[in-house]
Amino acid sequence: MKNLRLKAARASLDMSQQDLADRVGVSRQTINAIEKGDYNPTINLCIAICKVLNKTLDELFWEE
Amino acid sequence: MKKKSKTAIVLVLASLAVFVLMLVFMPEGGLKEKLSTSVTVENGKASPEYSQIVIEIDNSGEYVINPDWYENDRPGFLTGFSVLDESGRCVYSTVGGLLKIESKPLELAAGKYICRIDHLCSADVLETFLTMHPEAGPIPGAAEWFSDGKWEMTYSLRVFEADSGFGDILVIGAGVVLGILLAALIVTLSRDWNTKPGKYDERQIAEQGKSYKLAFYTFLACAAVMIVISDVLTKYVEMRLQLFIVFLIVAAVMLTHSVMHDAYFRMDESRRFYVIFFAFLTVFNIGIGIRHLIAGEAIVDGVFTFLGFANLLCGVLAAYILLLVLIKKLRDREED
Repeated sequence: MKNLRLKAARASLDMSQQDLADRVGVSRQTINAIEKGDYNPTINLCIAICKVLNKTLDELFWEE
Repeated sequence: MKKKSKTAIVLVLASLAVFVLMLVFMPEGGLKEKLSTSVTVENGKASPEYSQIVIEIDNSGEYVINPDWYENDRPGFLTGFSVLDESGRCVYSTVGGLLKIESKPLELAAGKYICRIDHLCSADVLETFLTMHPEAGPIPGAAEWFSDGKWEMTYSLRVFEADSGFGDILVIGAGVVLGILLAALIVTLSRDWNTKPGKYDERQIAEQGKSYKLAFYTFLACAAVMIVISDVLTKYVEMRLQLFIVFLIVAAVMLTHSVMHDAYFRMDESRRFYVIFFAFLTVFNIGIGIRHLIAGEAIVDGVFTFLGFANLLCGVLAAYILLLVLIKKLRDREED
């Protein structure tokens, strides 16, 4: 399932996939794969992304 | 300069130093002789009938004799090679069309030896030679070789001590060191040490795991196929070449999955460098492969040889990787 909340949060901070990837220490393709729902990140990566985007895990990754 | 960069440079310099030392202390390659001769075959008679080289062994001991007439064009005769001691006793003999062979270790006393090269241009002459040197034959398909014409032949001969094996160890060691040196250079040149950490991220590691799993299943499938068809296939394809093809198939499967899922290159690696590197590997290997094909070494007696096809197949694999990288690059560009 696509993670549109992550994409929106990133876009709201005017960050590119590459910017976010550099900040959390992964490749751009990994951020792309998470946004497209092709890859389920580990909890460590989720936390790192949340910290950079100033969001909680629930806000970005919890699925109702 | 970062610590990793310094380590890489030290590694390169240390490998280079060891390599140079190995070359300096490499023992002499034994006795080397070369003979060039023009051989004419007319109505099944060779002129001259034979040529010879005299060698002198200074110290008694175990020696390996390595005759070679591989680089010549295919002549219209077979070549019989025999080594005779001073009393005329044959200590070693072999027969071949185009041949590069190494004898078993032979016990040779100090003294002179005649290395005789017979130009066996008909079935009768060959039979006479094989009667005198039965250990050299039989030669399947010998009749296909005999034809009239004129050929410039170059025979080379190496005689070296067989006891220590020290030289072989040094040669292998030098090869390993050269490999490390090359790998260190490639890693050093391909990384942008100052900007990003040199590692795979968690998704890339997971994808690599999938690649290895796929490669493992491919290997099992290839092994199963080999068990069934290897007996028949060996008549047409050398066993070494069969195994090499399996190796290349497994590598290709692993590389395909890794490259297409962005798990092949580290985050800091320069793809441009690898594109140039693989392009060089492609041209280099295909060039050598074509040279082997032109020299007629690819198919010997109806059998596809490892020597003839190894470079060509390596070149094809390098071209395939290059193509994968370029396709992936185009796909990424579309995604962006």
